[in-house]
Amino acid sequence: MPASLPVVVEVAHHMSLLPLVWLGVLAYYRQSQTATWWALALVLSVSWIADTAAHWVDPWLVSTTYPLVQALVLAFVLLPSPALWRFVAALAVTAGIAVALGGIGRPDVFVRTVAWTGLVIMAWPHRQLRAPMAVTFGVGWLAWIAYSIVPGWVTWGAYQGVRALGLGVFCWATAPQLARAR
Amino acid sequence: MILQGAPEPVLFDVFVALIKFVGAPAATAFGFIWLMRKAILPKANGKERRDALEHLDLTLTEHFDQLRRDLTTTIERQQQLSRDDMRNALGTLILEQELGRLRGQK
Repeated sequence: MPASLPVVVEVAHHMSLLPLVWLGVLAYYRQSQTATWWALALVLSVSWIADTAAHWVDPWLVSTTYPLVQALVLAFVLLPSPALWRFVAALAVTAGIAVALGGIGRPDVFVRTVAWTGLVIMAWPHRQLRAPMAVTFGVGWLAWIAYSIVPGWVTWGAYQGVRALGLGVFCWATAPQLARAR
Repeated sequence: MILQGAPEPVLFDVFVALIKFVGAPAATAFGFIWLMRKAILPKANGKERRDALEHLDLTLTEHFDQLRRDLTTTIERQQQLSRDDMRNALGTLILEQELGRLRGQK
């Protein structure tokens, strides 16, 4: 375990709050963003709640559950009512299958695949959300698969790097357009 | 008897590992995309989409009706103001003429 790891772990924990803080700063300077961006910021901050909860609850349980919460949060905002309940049912079935198949106690791929695929599909019609969603939940999913195949600090670091990149893309996409000085 | 070491992983084992670690998540993702499009998300020509469009149409019609009423009221008020202004101007002109005529008589 590298000596600087506790710092990296703390950064990885708290960086999930960056989108909410960023949107708050923009709102303070009268650059408010739409409710969709706030919803995505909330989705990204779910992992901060999960990392905090992991101090008291089984980390693998939290790790398996929080993608479902992320998908639910975005579904409540973006999906119309009948589709929302069908999506909730699909997630419930997925969680049931995951528990029945292998239980919890290792890096889960099945639940995360379903939840994050759902997230990307829901957000895809919103053109402006595509880039942060594709990086965080598309490339992030691939990084998570790599971590599940070879669990270790290197693959974990790569996964956190992709997450950080996704947060950066979020901030870039919501940044106010700068006017060129004449 | 010659003792043999552990057998080298053959191509089949690599193939099985690839299926397990890469194929299974990819298949799950594609399967869920198919499920979302077929059974979960509202369909392009489905009743839900029609209802949503009708609702949107109704809302937009109400919005633009209100906007038209507001504009009509604003224009009428401005016209009313213009009429009043004209009346005041005419009244002032007549008053000035009358005053001039009265001064001339004196």
